[in-house]
Amino acid sequence: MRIAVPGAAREKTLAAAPAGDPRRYYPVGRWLVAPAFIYAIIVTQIPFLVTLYYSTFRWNLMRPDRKAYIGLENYKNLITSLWDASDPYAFRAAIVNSLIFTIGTVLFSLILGLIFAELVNYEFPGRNIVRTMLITPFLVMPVAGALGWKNLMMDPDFGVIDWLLRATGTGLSPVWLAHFPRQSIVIMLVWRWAPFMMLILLAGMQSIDEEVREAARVDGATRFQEFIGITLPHLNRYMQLGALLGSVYIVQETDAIFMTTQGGPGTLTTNLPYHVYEVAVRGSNIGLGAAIGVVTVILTFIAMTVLLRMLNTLLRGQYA
Amino acid sequence: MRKQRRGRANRERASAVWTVVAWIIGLIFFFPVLYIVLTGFKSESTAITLPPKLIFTPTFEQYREVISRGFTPFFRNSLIASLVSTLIVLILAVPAAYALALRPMRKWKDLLFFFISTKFLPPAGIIIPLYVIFRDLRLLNTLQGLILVYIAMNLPIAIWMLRSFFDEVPRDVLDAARVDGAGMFREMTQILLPMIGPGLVATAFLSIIFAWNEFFFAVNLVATNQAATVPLFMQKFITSEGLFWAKLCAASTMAIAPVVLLGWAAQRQLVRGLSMGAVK
Amino acid sequence: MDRELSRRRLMKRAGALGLGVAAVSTLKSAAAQNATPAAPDTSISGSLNVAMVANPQMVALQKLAPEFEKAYPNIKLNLLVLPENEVRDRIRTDVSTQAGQFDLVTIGMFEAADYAQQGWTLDVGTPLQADAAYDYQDIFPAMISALSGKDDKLYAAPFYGESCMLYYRTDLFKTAGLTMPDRPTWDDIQGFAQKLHKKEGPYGIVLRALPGWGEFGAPLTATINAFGGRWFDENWKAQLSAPDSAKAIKFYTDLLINYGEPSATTSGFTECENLFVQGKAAMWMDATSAADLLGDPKLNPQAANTGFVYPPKEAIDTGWLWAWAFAVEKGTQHKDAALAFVKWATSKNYVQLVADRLGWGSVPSGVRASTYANPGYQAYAKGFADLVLSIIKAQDPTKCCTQPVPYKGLQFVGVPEFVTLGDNVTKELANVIAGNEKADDAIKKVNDMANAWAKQNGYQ
Repeated sequence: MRIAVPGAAREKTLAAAPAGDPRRYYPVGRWLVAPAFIYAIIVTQIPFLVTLYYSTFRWNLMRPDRKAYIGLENYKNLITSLWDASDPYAFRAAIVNSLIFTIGTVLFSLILGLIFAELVNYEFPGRNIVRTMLITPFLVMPVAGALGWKNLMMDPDFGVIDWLLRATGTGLSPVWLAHFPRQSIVIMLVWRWAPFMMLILLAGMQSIDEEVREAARVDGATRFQEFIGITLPHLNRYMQLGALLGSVYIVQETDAIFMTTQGGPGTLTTNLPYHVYEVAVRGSNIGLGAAIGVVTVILTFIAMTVLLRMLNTLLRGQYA
Repeated sequence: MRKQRRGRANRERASAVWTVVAWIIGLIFFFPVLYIVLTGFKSESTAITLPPKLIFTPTFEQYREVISRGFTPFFRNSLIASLVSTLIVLILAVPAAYALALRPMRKWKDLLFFFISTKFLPPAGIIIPLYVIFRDLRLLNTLQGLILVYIAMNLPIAIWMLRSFFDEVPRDVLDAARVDGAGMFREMTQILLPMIGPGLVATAFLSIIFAWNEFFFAVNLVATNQAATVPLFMQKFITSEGLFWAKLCAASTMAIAPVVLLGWAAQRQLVRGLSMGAVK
Repeated sequence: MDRELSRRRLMKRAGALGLGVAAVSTLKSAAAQNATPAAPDTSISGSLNVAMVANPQMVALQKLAPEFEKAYPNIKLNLLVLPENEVRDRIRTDVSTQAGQFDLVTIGMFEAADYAQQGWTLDVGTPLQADAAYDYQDIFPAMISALSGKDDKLYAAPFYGESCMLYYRTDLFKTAGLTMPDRPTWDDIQGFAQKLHKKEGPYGIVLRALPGWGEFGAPLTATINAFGGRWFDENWKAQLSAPDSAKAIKFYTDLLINYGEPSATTSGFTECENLFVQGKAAMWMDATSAADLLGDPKLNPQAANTGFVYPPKEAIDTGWLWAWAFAVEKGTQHKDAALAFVKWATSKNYVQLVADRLGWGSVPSGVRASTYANPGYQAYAKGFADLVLSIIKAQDPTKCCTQPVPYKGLQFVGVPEFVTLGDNVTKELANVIAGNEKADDAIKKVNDMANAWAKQNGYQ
């Protein structure tokens, strides 16, 4: 697999460097990487291989007497269940929800993050305070943040949002986590990840050559024109980076779901990682849980590789 | 060069409307945090009054209550787990990142991709075997076990970030050092580490933040307050028990304070660190 | 292995001895009532990890735990008190993998026999019987038998026991000119709920709908049984969409949608209790163990206006039987310490200790006859003690339904894999109450789920 990463362009010069050049391949490098490499293999890859192995068993911890090797049966059941109208393993729901949560959160976070970054990229009184306030949600412990949202913001009786809706005479007082469970989860996740996107995009904005902006202003460009014509094109690869990093974390989200909806009502907020928890830990079904875990890994890996390739095309463009 | 440019970044003043809009949006986004912190200083009956009371006589009653319920060991465990794991992450990541950036070997890109790809592995995909392996190694319900996992969790991001910082060190500096006959160790400790200092700090902060806030591994691998971290203390508040809003908020405030304050202090490094090498 | 065998032999001998002592002690029952417990063996040492469900009685136990540590200065307690769903996950995983993170866990009738069968928990009955002051015979036989293994040994010592009953607000009924009959039917309840329901509260009725086989699953299953329905027929064919079961499910979900608490799908036992205590409920059907708390004016501002009555009946009474009980994990390194704690927490003296320190509203009831014979408790609980006792005594876990079933258990299907099914079915039905799905569609779906589950687990 040829995956290019930032700095890849330099490799050409490296390869072409004469034998006496100090930057040619150093055998010693291998030993410096070895500890981290071996550590990552032991703690992540070996357990994953064991997960693969477990996924070939019918194995419910509550019924050790029925444990048996069943080959690929767990996978067969999962995949055929995708076409079953009643979705007996809640597998289709979990895939759909994972997509909704990841794409929805990344999209809205990017849009909001872009607005925030543009807002605080200009000088105004209290700019540092506003920026500090905006990045805070990213620092808040997700389980504490989720409990705050559930009890202080979204509670139908004591929550601020419903109180505001009532006080403004809209006559609305929805039970957020029951009536709009998916939207509620996305709201909590966007609250956490928009600041993250802002941080990345802010770095991008700060790397724009000020002279280019000056020139545009001299030409009489409005702020909006400046944003569309200069800022946005420059931010393209930062947005890709934000999307990649955000997706890596958001696709694995379990904290907010665990603390608020526990996957429900129905299966409306069950995503793949939470589903593994439900099946393997709550339901003690190790075999099936492992199979769902493996599928989750494969799907995540495909999605991330595609994203990473997109990112690299853009980064390579920068070095060319 | 880069510094100079950033220093001049957008000195242009915003209009009054712009200022007001920015403040309103900032306050809206910050409100949940502010409200949590304020509510932690209220009595339980004040905590549920609507409209929310923003001016009230503060009380430390809830903090006393939360601490009397054994919050302290959780806090201590969190501190140990995040600091120790971060330290080891840096010890493993610095040489690896150095090698990947400055002493490239064949297939170094594949190696880098390997590290990043371990991050694509959802915790859910390895949690079952980890539990079984930890049980057999007697690592369940221990801080050591949790630390082992947190190292693996933060290692890829740390390597990726540090590599980009090493990458930026001007080649002339290195060449000069080598002409002087500096060994690899000296090159690292006396020349490189000081130069990537801010990067090191940013990496450490991110690693601490992720470890401090981590819940999924903790909930599955530790059980009692001998090793349980702060997020597990928060788990008690999943269901309500009587009036508990103010207590929940007091506990939340203590749970989020260390990392929020750290993040506030390190904003600039975070901006730089999170954009990992994409910023030149 | 050898050591294990000899230990078992020893235990057996001790058991035989204990039985004899217990028999003698019942002969001199008056003496046993007042027998002072043997002074605690302070040489027992160890660090005990205990996982408990966060119900009010356990929270009281947590408050009084320093007393135990005072009596046994060499035992250190680490109590993990978590909400029901969360603690059950922890306990189930720890016990079934024999991971040994806990020495002591709270389990109930759903798990006790099964865990014993798998050899995951230790016989606690034998050592408890051996202590005359513990007065083993004082515990209700129904509790003992439901917590025993196939070998008739007790594998989990009951801490408090419960069935279910109906709580209601006498003041609201009076103002509305309504009278609660002695034996209400579900139709009566619906009629009352309709008349008393207010959008801003108090709600007509509060009931659990927090997904989880042990949360929403309990009152739901009890209601299905009361309507003449069942989860499965004798051949493990799912019966949730059969007319009687479907009618019950629809009744329960409609009742909550129309006259229930808005936050139903996040309301379990504790949330419902809070709503009632805060005056937000006109009626509440739930565990009898809540009666003690509801009768205490200090804990329940509505205490003076709280009425207690039999649970609603339809074809049969709505009913359940449960006890939270302490089981000792087989892998424990501190067996003696664990047993010392079990003995302390489930003793008569502990009941008295709670009464003295925290009041009768916090005592663990429903387990010991002596609690109900105690003049202090009788005076405190005169409004409900006899009622609770008669309801508990009427429960028989082997006869849940009007029709034959292949499982034991009143408010659950007593097979180990039921956890998954119970959780998933309640999740789906919570979606109906949330208004995101039609009851008929959901009933068809949960019936399919039950059949797929039965097939997958080898029952069909």
